[in-house]
Amino acid sequence: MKASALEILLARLYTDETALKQFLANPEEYAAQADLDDADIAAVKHMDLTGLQMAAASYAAKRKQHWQPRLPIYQPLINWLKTLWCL
Amino acid sequence: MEAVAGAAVAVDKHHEPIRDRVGIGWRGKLAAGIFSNIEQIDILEVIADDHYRAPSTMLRALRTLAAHVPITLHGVGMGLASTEPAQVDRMEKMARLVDALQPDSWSEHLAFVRAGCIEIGHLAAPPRTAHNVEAAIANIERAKNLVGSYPLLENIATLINPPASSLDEGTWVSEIISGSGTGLLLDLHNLYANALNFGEAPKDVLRRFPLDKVSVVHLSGGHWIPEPGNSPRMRLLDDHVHDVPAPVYSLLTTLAQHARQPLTVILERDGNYPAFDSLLNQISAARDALRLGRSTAHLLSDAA
Repeated sequence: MKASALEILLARLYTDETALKQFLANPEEYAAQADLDDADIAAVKHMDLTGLQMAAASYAAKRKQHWQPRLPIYQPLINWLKTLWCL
Repeated sequence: MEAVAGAAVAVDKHHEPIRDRVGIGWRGKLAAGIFSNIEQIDILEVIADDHYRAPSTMLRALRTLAAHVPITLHGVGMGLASTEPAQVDRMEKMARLVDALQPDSWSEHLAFVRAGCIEIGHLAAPPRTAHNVEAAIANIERAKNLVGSYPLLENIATLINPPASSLDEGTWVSEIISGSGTGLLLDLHNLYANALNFGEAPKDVLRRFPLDKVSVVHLSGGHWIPEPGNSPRMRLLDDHVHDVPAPVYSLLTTLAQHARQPLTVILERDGNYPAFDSLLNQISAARDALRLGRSTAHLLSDAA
């Protein structure tokens, strides 16, 4: 199966701030240009716009977090093994 | 080492012992506390994605850890509930880890994380439709074929009720679980947050999930965030950086009342780490909640 047009639309709105602003300004018009079928266009017209904005903000924060330097996850394990093996 | 020495043991109506286990997610910053208190931890959950590129020396270190305490692997990036095929590359990496570590089980989320080459960077709830159920089952079967065993599947938290959904979350999860023939990793804080955010009673939502298929349980916490604009309303964000709230333990008790199978409970904590004693207290509270549920399960059948 290929990705549903609605999943692609949601992914774009969650990751592209400009697209999200354009969508919020006129959801129906934006949806009509997004290759959605009639049922999905109708669903998008009534979607939870508050939740959409909150979800997009949450994902943006997560992406930002992932760019920060990662914890050296192996170091505590190696320290413990050294203790175990009396190294 | 007898790693299950602290496991909550209850006896069901037919006098069969039910050995529940309680553990914690392995995080580097918690390692010292985990190793110092390993006798109170029945199992560790290791985030698989952190180790997909692990060199063989690190895999040996993880194998040594797994020899001392049971482990379960938890994936976050496959996107098994996508309508599009999930990435084979991640499944192959999971297969390598499963082969190397021989975990009790492995798990992934019922989420989509990418669509049409757009990476969301986190777990997103897809529209809950029959079409999506069919696609998720195909992804799960593909994962099983590559990894060699079925994943346990986890319900996710979402701040948005996905549009175009024709199924409620419990029904959607049930259909995927029964269609794929695998078990459920039930995240009780995710369930709790979704229920509150969308105006339902958490225990009503719980009963719509396939409780007889729950194998592993996640416990965590979150915090309330304001809705945008001038709305006075708030929504609960599952963030893994706060303590487990009391109502989530209550959900665990209800689950333990209804489920006849052993449960493995994992405390998740991803930051804002408290003193390890605080995490041990939450592990202990989970054991208490399980015991209470097991010891009062007969009340349900008596009432029926």
